[in-house]
Amino acid sequence: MMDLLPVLLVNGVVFGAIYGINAIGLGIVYNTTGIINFAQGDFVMLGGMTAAYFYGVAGFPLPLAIICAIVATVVIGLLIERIVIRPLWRRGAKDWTYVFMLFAVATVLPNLAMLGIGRDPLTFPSFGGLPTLQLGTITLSSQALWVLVVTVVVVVALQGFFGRTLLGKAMKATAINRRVAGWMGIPVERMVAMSFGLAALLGAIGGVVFTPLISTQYDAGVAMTLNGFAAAIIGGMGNIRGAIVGGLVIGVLQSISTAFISSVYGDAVIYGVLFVLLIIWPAGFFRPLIELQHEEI
Amino acid sequence: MSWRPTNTMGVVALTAIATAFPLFGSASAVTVMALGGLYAIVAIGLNLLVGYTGKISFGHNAFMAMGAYTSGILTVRYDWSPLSAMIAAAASTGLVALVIGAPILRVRGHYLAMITLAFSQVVILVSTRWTEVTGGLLGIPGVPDFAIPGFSFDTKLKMYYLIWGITIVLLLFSFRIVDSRFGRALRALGAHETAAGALGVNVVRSRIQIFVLSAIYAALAGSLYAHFLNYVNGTFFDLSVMIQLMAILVVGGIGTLWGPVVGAVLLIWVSQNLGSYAEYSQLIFGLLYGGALLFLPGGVVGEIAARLKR
Amino acid sequence: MNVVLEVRDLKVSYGQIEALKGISMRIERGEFVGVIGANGAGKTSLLMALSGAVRAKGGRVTLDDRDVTHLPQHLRVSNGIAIVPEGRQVFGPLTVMENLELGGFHRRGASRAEIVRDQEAMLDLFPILRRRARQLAATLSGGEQQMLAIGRALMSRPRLLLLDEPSFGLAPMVFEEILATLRRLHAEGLACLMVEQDAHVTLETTSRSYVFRTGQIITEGTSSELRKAGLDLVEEIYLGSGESS
Repeated sequence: MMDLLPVLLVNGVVFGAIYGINAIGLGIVYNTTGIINFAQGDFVMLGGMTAAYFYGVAGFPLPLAIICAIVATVVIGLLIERIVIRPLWRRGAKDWTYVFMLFAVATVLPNLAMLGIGRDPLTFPSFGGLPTLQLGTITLSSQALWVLVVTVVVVVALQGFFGRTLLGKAMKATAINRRVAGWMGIPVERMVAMSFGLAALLGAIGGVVFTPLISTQYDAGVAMTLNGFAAAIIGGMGNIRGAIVGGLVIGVLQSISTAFISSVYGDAVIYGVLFVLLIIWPAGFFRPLIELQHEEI
Repeated sequence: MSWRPTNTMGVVALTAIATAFPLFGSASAVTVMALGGLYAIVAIGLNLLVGYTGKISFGHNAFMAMGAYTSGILTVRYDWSPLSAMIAAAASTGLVALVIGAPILRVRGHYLAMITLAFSQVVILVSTRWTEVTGGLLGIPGVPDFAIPGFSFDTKLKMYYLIWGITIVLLLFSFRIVDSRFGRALRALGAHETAAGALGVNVVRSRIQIFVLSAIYAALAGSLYAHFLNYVNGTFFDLSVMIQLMAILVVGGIGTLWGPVVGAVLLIWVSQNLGSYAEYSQLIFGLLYGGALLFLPGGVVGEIAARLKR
Repeated sequence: MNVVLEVRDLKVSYGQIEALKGISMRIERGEFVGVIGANGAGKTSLLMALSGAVRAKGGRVTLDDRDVTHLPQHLRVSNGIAIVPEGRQVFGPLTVMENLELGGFHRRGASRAEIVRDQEAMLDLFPILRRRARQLAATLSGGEQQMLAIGRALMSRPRLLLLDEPSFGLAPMVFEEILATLRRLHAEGLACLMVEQDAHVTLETTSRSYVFRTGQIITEGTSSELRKAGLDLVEEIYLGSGESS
């Protein structure tokens, strides 16, 4: 069994990278707004599903299908913010209202996908363009390599965005202190919208790069949200590098427990770990990017 | 909301309507309304949790499942009497809720939602795979009719009356809670936690207590469900049940006394009248309750109450 | 026109509670005006309404003859009102330079060079900050954070600077230094409105002040006039005359 370990590790890392990206998306929304986006996993699902649709049904060439899928998902994310979050924000809704609302969104989106695109699992071909790597006994497929490369690019780009651009810093400022950010002239409502857009973008990228590996289905969202959440708890909400590390931990844990126990119990192990973590380290293992003051819900 | 004389009238009216309904409705309508009663039971418990403490659980479908399975297994495999099985179901589910809830409710409430969601996912998954115990995808058939010493509820009609009888009792019980010192403490919690804490309300313990109570309500409903259908299957309690519960709560009116019952009756009626649109049921429920959150924040009961005040 | 800020009959309510019951005041170019009063007198509500953090229920606020009464919060600074919040409230996890940069956010259309020049100007104004330019704002002392908060507000090139209890938590000597800088600035034409619990400090710094109690202005006057009113005034403010405040 032990000689399986390297393969499981690599497998876990690849899955974990996607959980990490999702965790970043969750963290961005949470930091900017204090809201936990229960629909985050659905952005991943939508990215994959729409790409499969554009490619398989509409007949687009793969690169175009991918771009359209990402754009479509971002638009959906922004629409959700505008239609569903903004009115609640404007009338000062309590925290639990957002949780309820996003759960509703997380119900509606998969159903729309199911009714609009279909029930069956869908996929599309690997991107190609990158080689298959042979690391000792382990084979890293071309698409798996794509996952890793994209993850690195995303992390670097985000760090550049938040660290160097005025807009990124403005988003951070909004997360640190919404009222003072407003006094600086930062349009807080637009920051909220942008955070949802970013979360959708990240989810879609994750979904698009991941689907050729495992295919996707309309109800894949919930598991993705939960795994992303677990990763975010380990890494600390909003901490980019922490999120990736958290994702890797979750991915590897899941990979190992799925192999050694079973796929169902593999998930149970993850959630058990998550549960224990929340009790010991409610603030996350790495300190969250910003110490937020939100009304306890 | 507090106990007012009008609530007594409401309970009397409800009892009268529930009693008379089978005289006018068809057999299938009675079955539907019995199901509505079951949902109402869970919704009443969930409403206490969300409405008065602002914490959310997405795992109550799992508590229903646990109640159903416990009753099913104990009565089918170990020949327990349905009544003792039901008590065991309530107790064991309450215990599980305590184990999950206690650590989490000490921390941020946002996380309770995620944890209970994860919990319910696991429970439903396990229930359909753990064939030795739960019968896997086949479930547990042959669950006996509910019975108390000397009387067996062997028809759907008798179960209907049992269910609504229990619903009304639990509703009254929830009224008492809301109006008790405990309930006032809960409402203080909902309004301002630090203030409540300063006033000596044991915030954490109250939260845990209400969470466990709501889980017990759900388990009771699940247990009744098992006896009603004479069958237990985990897939009956999947996430779509949670969605319906949310819709019931929101459309009925969160934090109102009558919201859960009104919501349950309304929505069970909707779900049964979808006809050819049955495929769209989850979508419709999701839209309904999202829409209610946006446009009808007080729910049906809340809106009516607001109109009456003017 | 010399009048920078004109407030007419401003009303602010939080639900049923009337925090401001109709305030009228004006500030002219280069004036340093104070607002004194006990807690709950409405001083903070005034600043919140002027800075857009809280909605005005009634009345009118004009800045340089422009009606800003109902302007959304994030547009206040581009209309010339900047605030130095109570308790400093600098962006802790960001550096001093980044805090300053964000202060100039609404001027993001301006060239990078201009912003950098203004940042340098702030560091000249508060030389201590220059040494800490790349440090995280959370690591600064109270006085340094206050300087940063002021510099951050000034980055927006405001017409009116609002200061919310700037002396709070600061050693008197430190605060003196800051006040000296502020006096210089207002000598150059910057209008300032300072809300302070410490009436003594206010009278020392400002040329004239308004005295608030329970949401209304009970008196106003130059510092010397108010000093003459002396102990009676203090009683008025803090103890009320029979009424609870």
